[in-house]
Amino acid sequence: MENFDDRYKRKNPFSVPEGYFDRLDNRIEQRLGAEKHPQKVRLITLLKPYMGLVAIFLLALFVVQIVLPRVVDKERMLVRDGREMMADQETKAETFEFDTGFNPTKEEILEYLSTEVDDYELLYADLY
Amino acid sequence: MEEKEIIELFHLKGKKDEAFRLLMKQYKERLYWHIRKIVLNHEDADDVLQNTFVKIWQGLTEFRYESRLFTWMYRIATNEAINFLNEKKRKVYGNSGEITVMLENILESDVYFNGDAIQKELQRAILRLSERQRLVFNMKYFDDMSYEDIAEVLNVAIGTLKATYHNAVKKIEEYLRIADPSF
Repeated sequence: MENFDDRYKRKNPFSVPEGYFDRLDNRIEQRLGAEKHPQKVRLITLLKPYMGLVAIFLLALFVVQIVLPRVVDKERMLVRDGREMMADQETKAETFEFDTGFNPTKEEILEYLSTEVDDYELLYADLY
Repeated sequence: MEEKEIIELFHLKGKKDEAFRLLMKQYKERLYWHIRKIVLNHEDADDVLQNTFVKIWQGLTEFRYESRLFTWMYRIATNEAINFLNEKKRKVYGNSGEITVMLENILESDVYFNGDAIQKELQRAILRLSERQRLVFNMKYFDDMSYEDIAEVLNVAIGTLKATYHNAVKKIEEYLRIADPSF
């Protein structure tokens, strides 16, 4: 080890830029100042990256909550109106009443037919 | 000013900045050279030193004299420097690179290395030691720290440190003998 020490003399082979240690205190204090009092960031700066997402969300919310229900309601109304019309017709058909007491005689039928049907039709009727 | 006086001043109302200025004045150079011998490059040492003082500032309020202030600060500086090196190595070489190779490159390109050829050879030899051997060798050989102080900094038993230093010196001598047969 003596040989080792004689040769290298524990000398520090590194150096620093001139005046480095003189300026160091101020630089560290500045750094600490930044750590102690972090710059106040404006709310808008913090929110900026999220504003696009918020806009998309609000648009989607508007479409889902306001636009879609109106379109769907309109279609439902149309469907409902159509169904109501059909239902009305069905009801009318169901409520059509036959006069069960109507029992015409053969002569009455022939008389009715003779007024409604011409002779040719009667001729064909006899043939078939 | 004694360590204890600085700490007491730091805990007095409105005296934090003054106490910290005293602390920096007293320890900045020793901490800088300790860090510099680990990271080698001046700019890196400057970054690590600033981070170290920020950590010291943050931790000083909670400092409870479990170790001496000086060894506590040395421990912070050591951890900061080692973490910095590992991070730098990861960024430059990925997970497969060797810190020794990176440090050799830094040493060769360091414009603030004023040593002669023999001193450069010694630095190359130190780079071939394990991380712990390197730390122990630098603190003992260059900083002339006692084993008790180094044990507090590295949290290692004194017997282990003596063996580590002995092995480090043997390795360095062996390397230098090969590099310079006249050694």
